Amino acid sequence: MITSKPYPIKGLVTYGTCLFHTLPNVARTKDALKNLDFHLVIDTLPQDHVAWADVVLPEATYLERYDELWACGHKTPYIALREPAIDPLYQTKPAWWIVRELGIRLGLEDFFQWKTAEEYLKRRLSSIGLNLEKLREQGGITIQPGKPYLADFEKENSSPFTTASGKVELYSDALEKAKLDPLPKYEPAPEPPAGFFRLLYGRSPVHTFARTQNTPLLNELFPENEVWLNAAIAAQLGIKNGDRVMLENQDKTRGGPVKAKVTERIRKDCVFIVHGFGHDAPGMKRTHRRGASDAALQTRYALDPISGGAGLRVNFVKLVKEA
Amino acid sequence: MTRYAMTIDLERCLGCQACVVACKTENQVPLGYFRLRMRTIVVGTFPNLRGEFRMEQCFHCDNAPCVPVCPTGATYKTPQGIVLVDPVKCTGCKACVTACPYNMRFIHPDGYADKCTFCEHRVAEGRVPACVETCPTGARAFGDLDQANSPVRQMLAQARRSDVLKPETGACPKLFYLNSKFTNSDAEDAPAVVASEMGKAGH
Amino acid sequence: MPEIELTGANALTFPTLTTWGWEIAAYLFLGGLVAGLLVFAGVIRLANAPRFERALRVSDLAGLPLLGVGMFLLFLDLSNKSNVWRFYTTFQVTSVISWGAWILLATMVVLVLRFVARVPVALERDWRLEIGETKRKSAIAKLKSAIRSFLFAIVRFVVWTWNVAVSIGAWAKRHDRALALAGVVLGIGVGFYTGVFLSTLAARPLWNSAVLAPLFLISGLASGGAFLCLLISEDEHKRLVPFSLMMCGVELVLLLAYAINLVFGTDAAQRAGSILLGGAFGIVFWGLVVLLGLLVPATVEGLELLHRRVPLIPARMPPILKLSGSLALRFAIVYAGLLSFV
Repeated sequence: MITSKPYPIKGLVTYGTCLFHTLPNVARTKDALKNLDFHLVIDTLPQDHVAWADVVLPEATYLERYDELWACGHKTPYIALREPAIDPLYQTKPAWWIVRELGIRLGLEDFFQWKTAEEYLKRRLSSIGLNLEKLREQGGITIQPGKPYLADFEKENSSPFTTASGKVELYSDALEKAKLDPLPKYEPAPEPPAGFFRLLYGRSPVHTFARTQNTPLLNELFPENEVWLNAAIAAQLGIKNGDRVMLENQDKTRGGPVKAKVTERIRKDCVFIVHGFGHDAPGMKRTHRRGASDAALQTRYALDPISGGAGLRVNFVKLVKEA
Repeated sequence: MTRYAMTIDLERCLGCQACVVACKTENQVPLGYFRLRMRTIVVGTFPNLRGEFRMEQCFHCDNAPCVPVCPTGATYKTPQGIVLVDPVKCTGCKACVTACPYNMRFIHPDGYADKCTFCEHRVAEGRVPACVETCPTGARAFGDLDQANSPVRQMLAQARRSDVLKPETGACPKLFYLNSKFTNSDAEDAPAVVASEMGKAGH
Repeated sequence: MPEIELTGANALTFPTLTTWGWEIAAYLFLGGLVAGLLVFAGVIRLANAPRFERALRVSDLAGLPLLGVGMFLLFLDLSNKSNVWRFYTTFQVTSVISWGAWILLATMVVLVLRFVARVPVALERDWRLEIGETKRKSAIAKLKSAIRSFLFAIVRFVVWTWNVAVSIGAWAKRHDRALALAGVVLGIGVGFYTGVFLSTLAARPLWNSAVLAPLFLISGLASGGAFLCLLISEDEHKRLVPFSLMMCGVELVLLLAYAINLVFGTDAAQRAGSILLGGAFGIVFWGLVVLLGLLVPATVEGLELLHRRVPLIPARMPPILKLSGSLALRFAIVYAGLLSFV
C-alpha cells in the first residue's frame, strides 16, 4: 500500500478490525491509508480508524444477526446455530446482508442465490437432514457423528504428515534445503539499552482487544491502562504509584500520559501495559486519549523468517515524568 | 429452615468481573454504583508472589447488624435468610449503611438504600443469582445451608478451608471464601492486615 | 507490604464512609442543648426556685426554634425526603432512630406548649379592621371592596389562630408542673438517646462505648446551662454557676473515661482512639473540647465563685467557650467515628 510494489493496492475494506491498535507502528499504518483511493470500514462499534474511512457500513452485533453455522470438528464434533435474539437496532445490518447487497451491485448476483440468511442456512442444514426449526428444538446445537482423525489414514496405511519422509521431522530436511536452520537455533533477543525497559503488553479480563474501552459498564471498571513498573526500580527513579509519565521508545515515539502502577508483579527490566488504550477518537468520549497505546509504541517488530510470525515485544521504552 | 448462602472458590476466581457486570445488567444498577466489588490482593516480593481476587458483596449475615437499626422497617430479612430493602419504605437515613461493618451498602440515586439481594427475584423462580450463573470458571455456588447436599454444602465439604470476612464482628456472614491463601493460620507469611481479615466462620 | 486494589467501590463508602456530615453533628449539638434547657427549666419549676424568670423565659422561647432547626437538619440529611412521614407510621423497637423520632415528636409538643404560653398577654386584645361601607357601584369600587374583604378575612384568621394559641398557652400554664416534669423526662430522653443511637452501631468502634450516652447527656445539660448563662441576669447566673461547674466536672470525668476505654480497648478501639485523640481530630478534642471547652471556662467560673475576678475575660466568655466545645465534641465524634472501622 505504501510502495506500490509488487502492485499498488488502492482500495481497502477494514472489517471488524481496530486498525490502529491491532497492527504495530501506527504512523506507518496511517501512511498506508493515505495512499488509498477508497477505504470502506465495516464494524459494530465506531473505532479510531473509522475517521479514516470514505464509507462506513455499521454492522449489527452478534445478538442481532444470523451468522454462518459454527461447525467444530474436535473430539465431539458439533454444529451450532448462531441466530439473533433481537432485531438490529438503529441502521445496522448483518454482515450477510451487507456482503450480498455489495455483491449484487458488483454484478456478482450469481454467487448469491439465496435472498435471506434463513434460506442459506436451511439449504446447508438440509444436507444433514435438519432445518432451522428442528435444530432449534434440539437447543440450537447438534452433535455429529465423528471419527478419529487418523481413522482414514490407518485404513489406507498412509501417513498424515506432509513431510518428504512421511514422518514427524525434528531435523527438517526441507528447511535445510531452503538454506534455513534445520533445527531451531537460539538467537538471544536484543536487551534494552541502559535506562530503557522492554515494553510488554497483555490483556485485562474486563476488555476485549481494543474494542470495548468506550463501553460504559466496562469502562467504569477499567477506564485506563497503567504502566506496571517494578517497585525497586520505581524507587530508584523517584516514581510513585499514580504518577503520570510519558513513555518514549527507542525511535523517539511517545505515548501517554499514562499512570504508573508501582508493583512487585513485574520484572525489573520490563514494563507492562494493557493493550487497547490510548484511543485517539473524540467521538469515543469516555476513553478518548486515556492511557497509552501499545500499538503506537511498537514501531519495530521482529519477523520470523520461517513462519512469518511477528514478535512485537522488541520495543524498549523509557519513562519520562510529567512536569 | 432455609438459609441461603453463597460460596466463592478463590482458587477458581480469575478476577474477570463478569459477575460485577452481570449483576449490574440483571439489577439495573446505575453507572457509578456497585453491588459487587473486587479486591485484588498480592503479597510478596518479585518473583515470590502470592495473590488472589476477593469478590465482596452483601453477605446476608445471620445476625445482620443493618436490620435492627432501620427506623421504618424498610430493611428486613426474609424467612429464607435473604436481607432486602423495600425502597417504598426507605427514608434514606443511612443508618443501615453506617451499621454494616463490611461497608456493603450504598444509597441508590433514587434515594433508597441498596445492595446485593442474592437476586431474590430469580431465587423465587428457582434460579440462581446472576453472578453465580455467569461465572465462567464455576467459582461461585449458591444454595441452602440447611439442606444437606445443596451446592453450597457440597462446596464447603470439598474445600480445604473456608473462611468469612472478619468473623469478630459477630454478624455471621453467609458468604464463604473457599481455599484462600491468606488466613490467620498463615499469619507469619501473610501480612497482618490481610490475614486478620479472614477467619473461620463462627458457626 | 501487600498490594491491595479495589474496583467497584461506591463513593459513599470508599475511601471513607461519608454517610453523615455536619447536619447530624449540628443536630446532636442542638438536641443536647435543648435537652439541657428543658432539664434546667423543668428542675427550676419543680423545685420552685425563686427569681429565675429570665432563665425560664429564655428556655421557653429558645427551645422550639432550636429543636425545630435541629429536626430540619435531620430532614435535610435524608436521601429519600419524601418518605419522612414513614417515621411516624410505625415504631421499630430495635431501632434507636425510631425511638428518637417519637421522643422528638413528644418533645416538640412540650416545646410548642411552652413557646405558645409565652405569647404576651398584651396581644390578647382582639384586633378589628374597619371596612368602609360604600354605596358606589363602580367596578373599581367593587374591586377595592373585594380586596378589603379578602384582607380582612386573612387578618381574622390570624387573630383566630393567635387566640387559639393563647388559650393553649393558658392551658399549659395551668398544667405547669406536669409539663415541667414531662420536660425533664423528655430532655433526659433526648440527651441520652442521641448517644445510645451512635453506640448501637458496632461497625464504628469509636462510637461503641457505653460512656457515649451519659457523655452526650451531660454535655447537653452543660450546653443548656451555658446557653442560659449567656442570656440571663447576673443574679441568676451566679446561682446557676455551681450546677454548671458540677456538670463540667462530670463531663470531664466521662470524657477521660471515654478516652481511656479507647486507648486500652480492643485493636479496633485503639485504632479508633488514635483517629480521635491524635492528629487533626486530637487538636480539636484536647484543644477545643477539653481545654477551651471545659477546663478554661470551669477555671474562670470557679474563680468567680471564689470571688476572684479574672482580668481580661469578659463575663460571657466561659459560656461561649463551653458551647463551642460542645459543638466541637459532636463534630469530632461524628466525623472521626465515620473514619473508624472494625
